Formats: sequence, C-alpha cells, structure tokens
Amino acid sequence: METLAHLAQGFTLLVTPKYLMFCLIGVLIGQVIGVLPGIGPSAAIAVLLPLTFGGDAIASTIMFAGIYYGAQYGGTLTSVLVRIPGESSSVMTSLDGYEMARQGRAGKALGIAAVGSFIAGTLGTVGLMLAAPALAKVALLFGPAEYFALVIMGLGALALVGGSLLKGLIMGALGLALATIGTDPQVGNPRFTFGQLFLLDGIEFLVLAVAFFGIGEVLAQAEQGMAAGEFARPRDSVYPNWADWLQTRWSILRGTVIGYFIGVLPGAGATIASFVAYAVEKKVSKTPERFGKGAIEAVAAPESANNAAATGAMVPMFALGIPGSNTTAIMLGALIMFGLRPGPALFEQNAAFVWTVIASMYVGNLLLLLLNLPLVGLFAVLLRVPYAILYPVILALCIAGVYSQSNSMSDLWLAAGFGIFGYFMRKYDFSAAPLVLGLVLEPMFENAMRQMMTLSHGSLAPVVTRPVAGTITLLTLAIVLWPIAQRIYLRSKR
Amino acid sequence: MNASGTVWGERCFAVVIGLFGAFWIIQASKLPYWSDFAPGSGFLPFWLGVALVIMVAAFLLQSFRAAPVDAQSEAPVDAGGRGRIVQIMLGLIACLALLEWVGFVVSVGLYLAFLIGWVERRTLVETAAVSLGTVAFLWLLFKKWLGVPFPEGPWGF
Repeated sequence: METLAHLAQGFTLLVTPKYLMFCLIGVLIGQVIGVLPGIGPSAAIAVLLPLTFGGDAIASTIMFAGIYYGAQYGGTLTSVLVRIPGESSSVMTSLDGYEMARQGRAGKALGIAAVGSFIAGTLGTVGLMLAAPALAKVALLFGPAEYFALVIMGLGALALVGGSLLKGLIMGALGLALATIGTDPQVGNPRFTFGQLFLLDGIEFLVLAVAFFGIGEVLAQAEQGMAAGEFARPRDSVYPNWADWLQTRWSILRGTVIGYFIGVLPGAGATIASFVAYAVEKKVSKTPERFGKGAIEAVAAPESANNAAATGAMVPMFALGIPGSNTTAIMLGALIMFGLRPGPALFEQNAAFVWTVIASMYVGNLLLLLLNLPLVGLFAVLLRVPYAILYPVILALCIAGVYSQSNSMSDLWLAAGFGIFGYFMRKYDFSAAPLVLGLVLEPMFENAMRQMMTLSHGSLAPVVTRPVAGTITLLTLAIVLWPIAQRIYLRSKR
Repeated sequence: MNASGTVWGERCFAVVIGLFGAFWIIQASKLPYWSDFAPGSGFLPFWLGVALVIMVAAFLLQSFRAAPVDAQSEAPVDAGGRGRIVQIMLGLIACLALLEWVGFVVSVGLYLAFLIGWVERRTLVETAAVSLGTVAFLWLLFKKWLGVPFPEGPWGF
C-alpha cells in the first residue's frame, strides 16, 4: 500500500510538461543510440552529462533512464534489418530476427520485439518498485564495515563484466587510486597534486567518463573504419496479430522473468540475460529445429529479457549504490554529481526523486511502444548515417561538454590524455566500468574504511566478523571465485 | 595487427599500469601512513599501489603461462586504421592548442573539417555542412542557452 502511495506521488510529480518532455527526449535519444552502431547508451549518457551539470536531477535522471531502456528497443532494428546488433544485448535477436527479415517478415519481428520489450519493461519496473525499497530498508542498517564490504562487492562484480576478472580488478584498483588525487577527505591534506592547483579538487568523474566512453570509444571504432549498413525496409505489417501473440506470450513472460533476475545480479546484465533467455526458449520449445531459421519466439524472448534486465539492473543501483553494468555505473556517477547519495538512504531522503524516476519508466515504456511501431521506417534511415560523419560530431560534443563543466583547459587536456588511455583499454579489453566505479565510490570506500579501522583500533576484522559485512564478503568471494572454479573444473574435465 | 602483436601490446599496457602502481607506492610513502588512531592520508593509496603491482604481476604471469598464440589466428585490423587514430589524436591536440587563441568556433570547426574532409575524404559539401552545422549548434546550445563562456578569438566568437 505504501509503495502504491509513493508511486502515485511519483506520477503526480511526473505529469508536468518538463518531466514528460525529458522522458520523451530520453527514449528518443535511446532509440537513436540503439540504432546507430558504434555508440552505446553509456557513451551517450557520458557525452550528455555536461549538458545536465547543475541542472534538475530528476529531469536528467528521467532522461538517462530513458536512454538506457530506449537503446534496448533501438538495438533491435539494426539486429533485424542488417544483422548488426546496435547493442551487444541484441546479438541473440539478430539470429532469428534477420532470418525473419530475409523471409519478408521483418515487420513481424520488429513488432513482437516492441510488444515484448514493452511488457518486459513494464513488469520489470513493477519488480524494481517492489524489490528496491525492501532491499534499501535492510541496507539502512549498514555501518562502515558493511559499506566497505559493499564497495568491494560492487568492484568484484563489475570486474566480471569485461570477461577477464584480473583485468577488471586491475581497472577497479586503478579507479580507486586515481580518485585519491586531490584533497584528503578526512584531514584536508593535498595528495598527488604535484603542485597543480587544478588537481586539488581531484579528477572529475565527468572528465574520465567522457574520455573513456566518448573519446576512447570513438578512437577504437574509428580504427575499424565502420561503414553504414545496407538495410531492407520492412515490407509486412509491424503490428502482431492474435496468432503471433498466442505463439509468443509465454516466451515474453519467461524472457521477462529471466531478464529481471539476471539484471538484478551485480555484474550480470542485459547481454547475459538475452543469451540465457534464448537458450531456455530453445530448450523448452517443441520445435527447437526452427531456432536460427526465423522463429518468432527466438526474437520475443531475448528482446523481453534485455529490457527486463535493463530495469532489473537499476535495483542494486538505487537500493545499494552498486551498478550492474557500464551504463548504470555512469548513471551512478551522475547521481553523485547531482549531489544525491545512491544507496539505502536514497529512498528515505530523496523519495520524490526515486519515485518520479520509477513512474517515468512506466510512461517511457509506453511512449516507446507508441513510437516504435509507426516510426520503424524513419529510424531505419538512421542506419545510413556513416560513422565517418558521426564520430567527428561526437568528438566536438566531447570537447564542448568537458570544457563547459569547469571552463578549464586543464580538464580538456586530461580528457584527451585519458582518451588515448581509454583507446588502449578498449583495444586490449580492459573494461572501463570498474575504473569509473572505483573513481565514483572511492570517497565512500575510504571514509568507511577509515571509520571502521578507527572503531576497531586499526583492525580490518569487522569485514568478516560482523554478520552482514561477513555475508557480503562471502558473497563477494563466491562471485569472484565462481568463474575461476568453473574454469578449473572445465580444464580438469578436458 | 596479428594476435601475437595484440598479446604483446596487452602486456605492455599492463606494465604501464604496474609502473603507475609502483609510482603510487613511492608517492604514498611520502604521506603519513598512520595518524593517532586511524589510517593516514597515505594508507589507502599505498595499498592500492601494492595491489596494482601484484595484480599486474599476476596478469603477466598468467599471460606468459597461457598457450602461445597463433599469429595467423586473428584477422588483421584495417591497415589505415592506425593512421586514422594518429590523425584524429594529432588533430585533437592541435585543436586544443589553438582553442584559446582562435576561439571555440574556429578551432573546433577546423578540426571537424579536417576529420571529415581530410581524414575521411568526404565531399566538400558534406564537410562544410557538418562542420558549420555542428559548431553552430554547439555554440547556440552551450554559449547562448547554457551560458558557458567558451574561449573567443580576436573576431569575437
């Protein structure tokens, strides 16, 4: 009942022209980003961050959330029409979606993907609404030891996103180390400033986010010389009929449940969710031989899963302050930039903020459904924009954005330097997400560690001796050691 | 670049991070490690430096112990790709160096024209339209709407 009252309050705040407009802008940008290969929602949010600096936190977060789940819708178009997944989470959709397009059923594939995404996004938001406040209530009992353990869990989980655990952990530690530049948060000493005044405030999250997800990403993509895709305009109706619905209704529901729970797990995300949903669908199908040859369920399930996962990933971000993906790591940084403290206290201290954003996700999903079907042809035209034209514009936006943040040339030089570093990170598969998370969470991490060690007379033991902190530490070990154990097991089997 | 080149590049990149970790240990040693009852300013950076060095060493060990890579197993990267990256970065450095002298509009406009017209060999019309359109849009958005004091050249923009 309390949840519904909060949600009603969220809707009351949302129905202002300003917030609805930001919701519409967010989902539109998300769709465009999803369609354009070479730029993902994390890069889009990073590049747009400077525009929202000092602005309205609610409006900006509504827009960022819209970009995140809107991109999942947009990624479907490229997967189905040209077999180029705009997002990694649309890879599975491209298998059967593209086959359907070749058979002249592109409209059906896009239509069922949009309907499935809408249902999954909406049900996922219901899950977010129910799970996040409950999780936050438990987390309100956290002390310094629990926060310390929580940050380590977040870094450990996000380290798994890139594929190599060790590379991810290196990046997480590097992010924490870079965040120690500036003024010591407890005693006010300058650290690692090397006599440079501009370093007294530390390295801004925004500068690194733009450098890694904007400049670094552009360099990595430009090296491959991406060309515009050739696409086939859908010839059939995009509106699914009753038979399509009957054939896919359970696939959509299964995809939604799988996607939501995988999305909630820190470190897993929309991509894994879509892979699992596809595999499960093939397993339960009475005609698995149709998979890979244009089965409509094989489009409905992964598309529902990736949308539900995008919403599920916001549960740990809002409730614990731990992101589950690249994009939510950037969003977390944005929340801190707006002066909010993501985590358990957010639901208590900024209830209006959280519930308006949640309410916006219902409206955003509805807007996407309404926009997606009639505008398929228009969005498909975007596929013709060559990357050669797109990336210079992104770079110009990066320059303007970084400069606007503190009107400082030093930040621009830092962004250029870290952009080159980001290119090598991308090239050698060192994920940027743990680095950004380390940078964002370092103040909380260091404060919690120093408070905990002060209370325990210099000991780190509370991380394992306190029940909740000990449980989190055990979970972290399980998350980190599981893939290692799996690898050893597979090797011994061979 | 073939697979073995990628592996060596990856190792060199890891070594750079390891050297950064060692540098952090040295610099952190100059800060107070412990104050009365709690860790001092240098405590966390010191251990982060140590963690970086150890993890990079473990990564290198893992990399050298892994099966040797087949040099033919990976498709070569677009030959012009690396040249493109160098041009984009040199262009960016020149753009930033000029920014305070000639102003945002001219500097970024020229950079865009360089990228689209020279690096990507697009037509003159495309180059002019995208360069001028983008700087005009950014100028209006940031300068006029958001009030960002972009650097101005001698001609007032």
